Amino acid sequence: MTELESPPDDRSEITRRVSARLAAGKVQVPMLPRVATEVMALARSANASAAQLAALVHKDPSLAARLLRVANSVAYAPSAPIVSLQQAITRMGIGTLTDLTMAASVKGLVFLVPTFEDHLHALWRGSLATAAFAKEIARSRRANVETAFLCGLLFGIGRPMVLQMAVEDVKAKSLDIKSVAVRAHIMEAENVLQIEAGVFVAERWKLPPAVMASIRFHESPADAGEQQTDAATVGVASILAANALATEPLETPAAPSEQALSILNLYPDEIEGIVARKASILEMVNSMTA
Amino acid sequence: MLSENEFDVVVIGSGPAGLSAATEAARVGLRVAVVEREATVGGACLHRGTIPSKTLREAAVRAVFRRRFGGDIKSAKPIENETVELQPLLAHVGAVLEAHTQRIREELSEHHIASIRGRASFVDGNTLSIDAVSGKKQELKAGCIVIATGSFPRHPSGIEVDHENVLDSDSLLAMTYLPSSLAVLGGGIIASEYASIFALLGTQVTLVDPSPAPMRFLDTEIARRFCDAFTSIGGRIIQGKKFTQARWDGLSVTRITLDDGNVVEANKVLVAAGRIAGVRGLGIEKIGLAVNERGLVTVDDRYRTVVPHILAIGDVVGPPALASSAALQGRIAIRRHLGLPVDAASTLVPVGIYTVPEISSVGLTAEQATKDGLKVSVGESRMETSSRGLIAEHGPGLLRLVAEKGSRRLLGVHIIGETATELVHIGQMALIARATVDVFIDNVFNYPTLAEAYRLAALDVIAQWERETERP
Repeated sequence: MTELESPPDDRSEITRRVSARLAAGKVQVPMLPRVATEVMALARSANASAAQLAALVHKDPSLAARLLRVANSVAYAPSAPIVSLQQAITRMGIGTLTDLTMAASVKGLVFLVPTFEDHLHALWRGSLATAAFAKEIARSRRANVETAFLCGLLFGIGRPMVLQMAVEDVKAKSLDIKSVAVRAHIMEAENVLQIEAGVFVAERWKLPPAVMASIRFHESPADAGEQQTDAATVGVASILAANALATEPLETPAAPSEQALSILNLYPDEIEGIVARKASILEMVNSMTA
Repeated sequence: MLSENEFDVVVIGSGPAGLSAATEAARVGLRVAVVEREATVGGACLHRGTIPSKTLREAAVRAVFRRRFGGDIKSAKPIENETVELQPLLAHVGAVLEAHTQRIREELSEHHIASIRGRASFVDGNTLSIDAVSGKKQELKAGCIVIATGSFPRHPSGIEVDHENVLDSDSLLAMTYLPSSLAVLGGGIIASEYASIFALLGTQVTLVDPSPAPMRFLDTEIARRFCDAFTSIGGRIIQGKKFTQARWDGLSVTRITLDDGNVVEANKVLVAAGRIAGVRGLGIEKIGLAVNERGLVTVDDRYRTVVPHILAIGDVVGPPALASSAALQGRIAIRRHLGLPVDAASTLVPVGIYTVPEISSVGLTAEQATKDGLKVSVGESRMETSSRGLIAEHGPGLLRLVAEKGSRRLLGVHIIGETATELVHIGQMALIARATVDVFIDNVFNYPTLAEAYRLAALDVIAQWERETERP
């Protein structure tokens, strides 16, 4: 059997090997940067000052640069250029800073796989848009908006991880990464193993149960037990995000599952109200991915 | 014979009022349906209000007790200088809610009440359109329709509630962490309960109350004691000032501007400035109904709207807006609609307020009785001086009995102190029995119990009358 022939279980060899690595725990999961965990802890303490936060963020120059860039973007429309971190934090607020810190940290850790830049960029935009829609769903349900953002941001964390592992596998086996067939198998691995990989990352990063449930059950939230509203929120948000990010106008936009809508008790007009926030959500996504 | 979608009574809303009306109607053999727009039965009281807030209160009181007994036994201090996550304090609220909803489902099933999920709107006086979450529609017909849709928080103009920094009572308990400071805008029951619970948990709480005193319907001495208790655990009260604006600074503080120009700052803000009837989307205008100037549905003493076969009960008709009174209204509304007798004594409803400490009240205050032309005396006992109060170290508490001079009849009972909401029922039974204050002296309670406070207060009022008689 060649490397690209499908085995009897219909999965490609690449998928099987990556799956075996995941099962054996032979995965290098990058550590969350200390600055990210420290910023989140300080923001949660509610005693945070802009100066304290700025001092923390200064420890990570790439994060600091990204925050300044976003604060100067059109989404925040500063009347004069923002030149200091403290100014940036005051402008954006602690909530946005925390969101951005988490987002920037995650992106820097796992959304960097050579030759798949465009795909990863699209995935990243999808994660940000899902996070923003999840926040709006939570707001309309009077649930916690911060938790919803985090769940939306990280529900697809397994995809870049699998991609990275699949690319490593292709290199190890000296396969041609530019071959259409190889790329198709890499994408298959991503789709088949993304939840498994996401759970792996979530366990290593000790992410909260709501995030774990969102990774595992966003497509079947009724199976998520006590976390089913978190999983349903992300399930609905991911559909709304995909519709909003579509480059061509969709004839029939995808509809969230009845199961998820039922769990969230979101009526059609309430969904319309959330979709109506598309412009501001895309503005935020654009500012964070510029 | 009624068809599948025809009912004698359709109740919109499955909170305490709706459930009570539905079961009362079913008990007399009527075909009944309950329509609920939320995913589970029970209403806002169960899922967003009464049960979660009381669960938080119990957890807070227990947390403080644990600290007391772990350290200085005499100091009932609020929790300080430690980061407290809010959600673990609400950990078992899910189990409590599940038990309640299961009990409600069983009750509906036992009474053969149809439970229909969806949003109801009037098509005409006897027809409701029900929209499901999925978008599917169905119509229900009924000879009597009961509006028991509850209420939702009122957001005063100038105060934008974003459910992130400025919250209302529906979103407050979704916070993950306890804020270091909280401004509570309002002076009613919800405002006072949350203000005292968060103060006990160590949050710096400022209660901004536009009225001259919080919970003005209370006995004035009990209300004063509440203010003392609240400030003793670090709470601050700004009385008689209106809030005109709440604006998040974009960083970590929301600034509340008062009508005298002063500004209050807090990390989070709770807007608890009353509730308005939950009639949005019901289409009541199609049947000739409208909300009154207070945003409520007007009813007569039989809970009939201007359309006689359409009844309204619970929060949609306004104060007292308590779960207990709502349930009573449901029962009375159906019985009166059907021409069945209603026991007059059962209209006596106690008020239970889950502040720290608890407050409870039943019957008349001295002020109300005097206004009614009665000559009254008030007997008092301090609960911390009763044997059980001393043993339990519950802290200060006060029981006040209002009794009529001459007839010695008990008119009202007003209590502040731990377990007040349980203790008040002794007084309620005495009021229903139209007893004199002597009933608390002539009969024996368990010893030591807090019920002793009734005996001490009765002795106090009798001593006052004896002194008055002795005076030349």
